Amino acid sequence: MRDVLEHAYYIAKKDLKEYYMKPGTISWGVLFPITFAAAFLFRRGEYSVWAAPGLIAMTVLFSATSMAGASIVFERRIGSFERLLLFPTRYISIALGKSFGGFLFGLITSLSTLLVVYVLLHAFPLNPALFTLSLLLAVLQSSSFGVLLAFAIKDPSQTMTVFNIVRFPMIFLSGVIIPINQLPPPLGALSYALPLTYSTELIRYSYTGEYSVIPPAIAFIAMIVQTLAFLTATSMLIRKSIP
Amino acid sequence: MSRATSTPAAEDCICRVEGLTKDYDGFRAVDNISFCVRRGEIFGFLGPNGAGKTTTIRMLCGLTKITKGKVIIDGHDLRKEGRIVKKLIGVVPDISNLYAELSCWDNLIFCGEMYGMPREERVRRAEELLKFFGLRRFRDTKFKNLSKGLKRRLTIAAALMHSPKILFLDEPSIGLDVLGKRKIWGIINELNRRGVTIFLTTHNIYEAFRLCHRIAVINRGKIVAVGTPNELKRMVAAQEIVEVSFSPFTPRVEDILSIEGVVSVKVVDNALRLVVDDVLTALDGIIDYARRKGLTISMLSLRGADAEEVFLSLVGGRNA
Ligand SMILES: Nc1ncnc2c1ncn2[C@@H]1O[C@H](COP(=O)(O)OP(=O)(O)OP(=O)(O)O)[C@@H](O)[C@H]1O
Ligand SMILES: [Mg+2]
Repeated sequence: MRDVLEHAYYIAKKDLKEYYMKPGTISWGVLFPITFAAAFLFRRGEYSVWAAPGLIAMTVLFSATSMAGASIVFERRIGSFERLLLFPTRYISIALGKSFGGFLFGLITSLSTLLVVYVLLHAFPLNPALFTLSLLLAVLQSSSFGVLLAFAIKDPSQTMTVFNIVRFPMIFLSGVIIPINQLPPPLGALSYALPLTYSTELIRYSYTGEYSVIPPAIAFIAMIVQTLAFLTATSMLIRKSIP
Repeated sequence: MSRATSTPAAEDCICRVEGLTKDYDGFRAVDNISFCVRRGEIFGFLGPNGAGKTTTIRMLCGLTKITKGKVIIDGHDLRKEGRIVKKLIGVVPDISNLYAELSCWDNLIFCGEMYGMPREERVRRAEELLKFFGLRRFRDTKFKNLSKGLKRRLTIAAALMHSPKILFLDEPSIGLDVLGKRKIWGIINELNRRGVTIFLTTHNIYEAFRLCHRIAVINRGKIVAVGTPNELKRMVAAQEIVEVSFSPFTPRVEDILSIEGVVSVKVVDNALRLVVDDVLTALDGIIDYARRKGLTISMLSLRGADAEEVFLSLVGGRNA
């Protein structure tokens, strides 16, 4: 177990040096949420506090998946991904390490989103401790989801297309813009299948004290289970990817 | 010949392979091969493109699944004790695939970390390797900015971070210029002198004969011969090279191949270079053929086989 975490940490550290700690990447990670937030929060002529948690959850999803995915796709294309398979390490360490890299990047973007929300709305989370916990969990859930998706894609050049096909519907179906209980029944049912639903609900609860349909405890457990499932599925995909 | 193909005692083998086979949906890339790499030697896998060299090396280090067969490295079964085996081996793939955006130093340190080396040891070993490979000046240079030859060197250095007992090199000098090749050969020899067992693949006959203590010749997934360079030469020693030219025209290769005693034929300028396994019969046949076709033999010379010809006759080349 210690080995698994240690290896994951080294892989994440390496990815940070290699991909994330670049001026371009970092400024994208900061600017993207700022512009996004300004446009998104301004609804019907006024800033909406209700929308803030959804915005945060969504930024987390987009930034963490993108970054986790990009590093994997890039490495798979130039053939350096296989180097990781030469080390005496478990596949789960690789899954976890790749997720940690996206995790740190997702954290940076979500903090800058939080800042924008604060500046625009002067709103602060109702329950800061629970908010912090939900945010961390949401980032890990999103980055492990991105890692899984990146490994599931056979043709690396299709990565961003697939990512967007998967992510964009979530904005509408996960309670980010439209509350889940206002969705027509079939779509409402679909929202239970989307990871973003749970992070939005939990973050919203910690931020405003309200949720739409999923009680916080359930959302919390669901996100942990999903994260573990994503990591496990990723290590199975890595094993399967060996020719 | 008998000594070359007899299996050495199991304890001599740092890498023992039995009945190794790889199928890619229906296509057999490696076909039931067995061999032993002895502790301390440089063992070469020589074969033409597509022979199955890379597939074999990838199976030995766990990058490709084994369809059938057994790989024992330093007494550990690769399939059962994969992670133990990975600590014992160093692997240099056929492409230099270190992390492009990391410096030489960070690349080495990362490898040390992944092998669980303590910090001081990582630093000491990385410094030692940079020095040994003449890369100290490039310590902080990003991998992507190195020349091809330097990339190759660093990729080898990275495989040595954890001081493996056996080093697998896939086409170590491919794509390098003469100086680059020489440098890599020097490094391989020096590493071997310092006790590292080396397994390398190559399609370069000169490289194999110059560098390796023993060579396995592989073609179409099968090992067709194993031995020291001298033994391989002797194996075809009964075979000799006959160079012959005819006038007024050069006969068709197929005609000459059908002459008894001729193993292979190659057109060289306006002469034919034949590998023959029975000189007298072949010469008889050649003279007889010339008489029947009304040709005169304008030149005929005889000599022993050199490496390239040994190789061609082993892989059954009638390669024109
Ligand atoms: N992933 C794969 N799927 C299907 N066939 C493969 C795969 N990898 C290799 N092959 C086939 O297996 C055979 C052996 O390939 P391999 O790469 O081992 O040859 P090689 O001796 O290394 O040749 P080269 O000199 O080109 O490197 C080739 O015919 C190749 O096309
Ligand atoms: Mg090859």
